[in-house]
Amino acid sequence: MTPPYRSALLVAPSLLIFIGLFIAPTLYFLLVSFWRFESYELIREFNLDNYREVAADYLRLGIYTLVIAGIISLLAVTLGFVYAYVARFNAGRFGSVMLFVALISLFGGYLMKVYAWRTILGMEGIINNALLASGIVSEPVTWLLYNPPSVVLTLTNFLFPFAMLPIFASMQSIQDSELESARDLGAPWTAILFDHVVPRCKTGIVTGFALCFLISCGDWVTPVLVGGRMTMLGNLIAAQFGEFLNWPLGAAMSFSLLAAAFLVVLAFSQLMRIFDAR
Amino acid sequence: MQQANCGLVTARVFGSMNRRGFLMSSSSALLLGAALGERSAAAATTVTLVGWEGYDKPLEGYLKANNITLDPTYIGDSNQIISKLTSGGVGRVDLVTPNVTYVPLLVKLNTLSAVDESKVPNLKHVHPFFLGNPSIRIEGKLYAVPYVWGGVPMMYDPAAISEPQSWSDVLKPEYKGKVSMLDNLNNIQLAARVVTDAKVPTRLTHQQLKDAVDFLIKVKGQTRVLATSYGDMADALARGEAVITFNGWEVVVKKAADKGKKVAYTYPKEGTFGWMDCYCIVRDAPNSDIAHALANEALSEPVQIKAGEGELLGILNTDAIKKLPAEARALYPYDDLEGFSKKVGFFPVAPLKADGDVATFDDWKKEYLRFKNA
Amino acid sequence: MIRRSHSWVLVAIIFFIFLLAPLLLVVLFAFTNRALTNFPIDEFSLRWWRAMLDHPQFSPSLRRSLTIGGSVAVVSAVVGTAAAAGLARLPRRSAATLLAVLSLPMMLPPLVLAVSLATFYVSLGMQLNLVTVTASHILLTQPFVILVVYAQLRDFDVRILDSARDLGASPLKAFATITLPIIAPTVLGAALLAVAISFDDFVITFFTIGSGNTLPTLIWGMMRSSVTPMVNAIGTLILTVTIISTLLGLFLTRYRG
Repeated sequence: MTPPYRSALLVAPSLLIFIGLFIAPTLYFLLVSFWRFESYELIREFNLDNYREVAADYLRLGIYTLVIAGIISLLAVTLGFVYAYVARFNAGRFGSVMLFVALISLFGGYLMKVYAWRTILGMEGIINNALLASGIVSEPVTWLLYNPPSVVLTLTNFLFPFAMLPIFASMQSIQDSELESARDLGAPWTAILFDHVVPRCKTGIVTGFALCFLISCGDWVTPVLVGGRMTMLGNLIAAQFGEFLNWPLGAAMSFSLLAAAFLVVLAFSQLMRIFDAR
Repeated sequence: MQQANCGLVTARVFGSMNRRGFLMSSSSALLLGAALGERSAAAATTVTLVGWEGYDKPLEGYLKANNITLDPTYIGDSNQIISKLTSGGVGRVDLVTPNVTYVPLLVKLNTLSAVDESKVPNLKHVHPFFLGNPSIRIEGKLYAVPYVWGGVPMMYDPAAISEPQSWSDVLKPEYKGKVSMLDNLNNIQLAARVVTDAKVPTRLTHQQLKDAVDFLIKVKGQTRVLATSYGDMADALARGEAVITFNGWEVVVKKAADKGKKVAYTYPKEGTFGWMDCYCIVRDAPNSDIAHALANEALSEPVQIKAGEGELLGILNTDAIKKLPAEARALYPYDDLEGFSKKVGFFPVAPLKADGDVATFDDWKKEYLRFKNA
Repeated sequence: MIRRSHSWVLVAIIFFIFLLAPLLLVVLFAFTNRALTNFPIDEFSLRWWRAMLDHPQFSPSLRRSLTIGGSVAVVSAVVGTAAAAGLARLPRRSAATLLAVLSLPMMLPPLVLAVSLATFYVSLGMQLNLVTVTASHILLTQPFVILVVYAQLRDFDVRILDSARDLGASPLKAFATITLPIIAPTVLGAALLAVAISFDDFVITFFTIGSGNTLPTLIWGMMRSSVTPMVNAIGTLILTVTIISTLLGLFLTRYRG
């Protein structure tokens, strides 16, 4: 075997990038969250004011953001599960086509999807076009776009593959024969689903949920483009690095959001444990 | 797959390792083609600009003739210029186009370099009214080359509603869900005109500031689209998503017309605030000479006429004003600038340091965040 | 078989529409000759593609996107392959732990990663430019490369290398003549995946570029100002590049001789 120092040497560049561009900036950012900005000057004095401000003024918005992200992630995971199940157990050879479609949609431009939904849902959009042409409505409907549901729809569409692929990956280990024998023993489909399939996909479900939740809770582009006057915490974080220029407050918002998001993900993975007991 | 907790990576790799049969190998052609077509486009000088969208358009001919590539980043709020410059933009950005009221602040933050007036000979054609603005000179040095001006109007869709009279018309119940509002801190100035009796809408007491923002929050409740730029606002009007706006720009008429929609504007009875956007040279600009040349060219007669006629901007070259077609000339009170100034006013931004009960700029930002948070 | 009915076909079709319709519409409307993105399309034309080529910002943005994507691919391929080679010599458990650690950046919301990187660069007095964007992208793409290459090297028979070494080959030579030819397609494929990620990234680029546009930030600007089907044309271009490099990447990484 080769001496261990060579291993270390080979991994070193990657680790340096990781430490220099991830650990160091994150720690510095944490430090910044305890400083303050005054008249465009960063004042390096330790204080908790930013966190106090977040707790006092942005708690409501933070909870709202987590709720929206939660709805999106649960939707994405549910849809992803159904899709993965169909691809794995129903579709036979066609399953590879389904997987392929999911992969394509994973890489299909983030901005372009948001933009596409605006084209679909707007007052002169495709759905309204169709509704008007078919005579179902006489005036374009306005409730399709520029509201929280359109943000949920758009982000669920974008995040779907992030939820589906890990679930599909963990379904690979389930043998068809296992489900067949359960069925032969007369188990109803709900029992098969919740006693056999879901427990085995737990890792995939939690991974998918975590990815969707962490991405959606920090999103700010979608509310801007399809949310109308909707604001999520991400919009305020982005604004602290744009027109408001208050890094410390933005940093405190970021870390508060991260902490809350990790707690939610943790809670979700604990919740999934109910499937262990069965 | 042992490292299933690596999530997405695993999923992607997993998909790739277990599924076959989905590739046309010839598709590499496009990537290669794109890479080859990428040959550097001659030796054009690239000038970096952070500013309002559309100001570069009248300069296009000049840029092409002189082999200058303009590299613009568009803003929706002059405050974004401050952020860009103080977060690493100095030394990299050449030009910015802030509202004149932000110039003293930008100078104070040491982000601008004084303009070498000998390189901007066209300054002598600028109407004295605009050169007299106290904010362009600081300690005797010129920091801003005035370019275009206007007063913030209210836009509306004349096909859908009759001409609004007051800024508070946006609160009418029939307009609920049909308002577009620009997401801009200076809305506070407009709101202050409506709900406070402050003489200078940028010098508000804390109570007045709060009242103004409370008003904005009410307007937000009526809003369908919180526009992040004037283009966004024009788009919302053109697509019929909004019929009336809070904050606006004369140029929105043109932007909406490009999309086949007739939009009109009005200056509501409470008054508004005036703005004059300037070309400013950033400190340590990599292309300081070309930046000066562009600022100078922007004041030339042909460019000013293009700006006034083509883009419907308010211009300030006296010779160009005279040659404007009647229609474009009627858009702005060119003959009564003093009167216009009295009515709308060009107000410097709120003070940086506390001054009695007058709210500071930091207070403004904090209050505006409350609006965003609402 | 578990398959009982064919109702799953309907489910699959609904999902396909949900997943693909937005992308197909983007592409479809890139070829309209009208100024609005809705039906009916009276005539297909290349009008917006010509407009895209004439747009003064298009070619500089494309150049930047390609420069960043190319640099990201090269650096993350080299660094990632080295790391994978190092990990392959470690016990599997420690390698898996290290991998999980290196993948952490992907678990943060992109916005938080972006603003913390931007704050860091600016505080160090660095100028925000293409270098800062490239560096930030590498942080995101290197875990992909490491994982993909490691997955192959892990199952690689080290004894071949040992015998080469016994025959007097230097470690570098053994790597260049034996390991590299075998893993080259995988490395190339991983590099192409890195291109796809970099080419499509908006959030990180937006905060770390300082000034100037890449294709996604150019589109962002257009979406907030003058929305025309030119946005669709540029979007179609981005989609084509990311999807093709992904497909190629997936194909190559699966290719194991």
